[in-house]
Amino acid sequence: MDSPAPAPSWRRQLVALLCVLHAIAVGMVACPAPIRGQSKSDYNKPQVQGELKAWTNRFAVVGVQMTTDEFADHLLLLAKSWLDLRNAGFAPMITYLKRIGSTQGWYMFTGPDTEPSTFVVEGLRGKHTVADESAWELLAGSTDEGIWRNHPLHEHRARRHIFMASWGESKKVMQALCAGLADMAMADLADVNAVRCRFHKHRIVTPAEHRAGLVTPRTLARTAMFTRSERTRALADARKPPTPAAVP
Amino acid sequence: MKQRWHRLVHWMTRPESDVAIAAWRVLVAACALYIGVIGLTDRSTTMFWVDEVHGGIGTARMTFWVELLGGLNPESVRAACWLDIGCSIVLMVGVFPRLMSAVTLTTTLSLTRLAPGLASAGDALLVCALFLLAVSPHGKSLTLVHRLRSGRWIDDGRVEGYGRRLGHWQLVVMYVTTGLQKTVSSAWTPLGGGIALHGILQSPQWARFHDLPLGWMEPMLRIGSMMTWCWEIGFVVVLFKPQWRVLTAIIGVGFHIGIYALMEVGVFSMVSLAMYPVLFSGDEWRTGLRALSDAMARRRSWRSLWPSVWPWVPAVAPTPTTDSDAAPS
Repeated sequence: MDSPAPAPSWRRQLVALLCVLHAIAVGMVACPAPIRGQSKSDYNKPQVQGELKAWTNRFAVVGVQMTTDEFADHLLLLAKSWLDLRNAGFAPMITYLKRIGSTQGWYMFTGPDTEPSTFVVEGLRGKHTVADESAWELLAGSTDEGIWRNHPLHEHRARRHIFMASWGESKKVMQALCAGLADMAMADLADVNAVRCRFHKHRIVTPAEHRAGLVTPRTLARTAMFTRSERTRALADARKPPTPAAVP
Repeated sequence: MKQRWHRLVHWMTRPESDVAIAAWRVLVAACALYIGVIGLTDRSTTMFWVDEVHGGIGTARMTFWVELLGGLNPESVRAACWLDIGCSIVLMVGVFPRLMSAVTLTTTLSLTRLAPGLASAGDALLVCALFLLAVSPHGKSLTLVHRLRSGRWIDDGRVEGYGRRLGHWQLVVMYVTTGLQKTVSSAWTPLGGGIALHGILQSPQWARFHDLPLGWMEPMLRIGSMMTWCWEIGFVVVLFKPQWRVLTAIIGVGFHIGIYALMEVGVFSMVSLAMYPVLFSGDEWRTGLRALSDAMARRRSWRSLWPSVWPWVPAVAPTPTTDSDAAPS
């Protein structure tokens, strides 16, 4: 039989208590929660639909029959209940961890994006008009290199923003990204008078298709465009001091 | 119940060699330093970290140090980056490690929260590590002052190990919960054939290279996906079976090198590996390093005995080891 442990000092007991509380908070708050899957529209994305179908089939094998829509409804309800319980029950822990900066959201690559987007930045040089489709030149792209050598598209935070702009429903993210890139490209390339950013979606290929050399067609998913005069005006507006009426 | 609590308190605050926490401090400080350096060198800093008046795109949010240094303009952001670099260097060399961990925590938060939507898991893990370093007791090992005074990097001092244990727990929580949320998608699991990595490496936003022969890499990628999922969920084993930590850590190092080589996910691999010293106590590190050094010394003496077996390796006399580096009994 183990000999009884001598009583530790109060200081050590307090330290251990705080450590235990911190460990519990970290463990509880880190439990996976569907923070981003809260609307039915999220369930309509092709990769989510694929997963729902696969799980419905698996349930059918063990005798649980339901349609994909019913399964999605059950999941949505479950997700909402769990999130409500988590937000209410763990509120003090969430607040504590937010205060110390240790937010615990470890959502990393839940699944592959079955329809990823390729991002390109194109420019119009000289006196061509924006309607002249053949005059647009590739400046830079996520997978292709153009004439803009000093572009930031491969930097980590730029990649994250491009991913958000491709994935999210909001056009504002895309507009903001393109505006920033247009300013940078026009500053670097003096003869570029208009910049447009485009997302092309394509279906990913299976390993067998990859080996066969199949390339899936790209479809234009989203676009944004700015001319030099538009950006000059927007920047001048942003730099104007606020009018007295706008000052609170 | 009381006895159990006392045992837990003894286990949590048991003194151990300060080598593990010192190595952890140096590596985490290097990661914080890197965040400051990329803030200065990346072109996208202007886009994401400054306000619209100065050329930003509206993602920037005010943070403590940037506000103090003058607001969301390029000069203040650059000053905040330099501040982060300075604090990281002071933390790395071990001057007032607790205080400097806290200050570096604020400077790192001030940079990574400038565009909160663009902060990655690596940024979050770095902040967690800096907080734990700020509350942990540190010794003199791997500090410049100790090196200048004694001529040695390693000190025989002992510190309470609760900070390291919390770091260990943080690593377990991160891996296990990320593994659990991967279960939502069959692509990581044998149910979906482990096609996750094949799909992710086709994403232009995350793949480091775009012309990899993914079709021919299929078996490796399938095994890699399933192994990643199993390993992440199975990481919890290090809590209950300490003897499995070496194998788990070796797989982890390979896993992060693989991620770094194939994918662009910021500082995640670097910060995760910076956490690995906490998997073993300071005493275990010292014993392990001593055994490794002894083994290397022995191998060198065999080479000197049989030069014909390794003719390309010059015979080297074994390096004498000092008793002061030995693990305390």
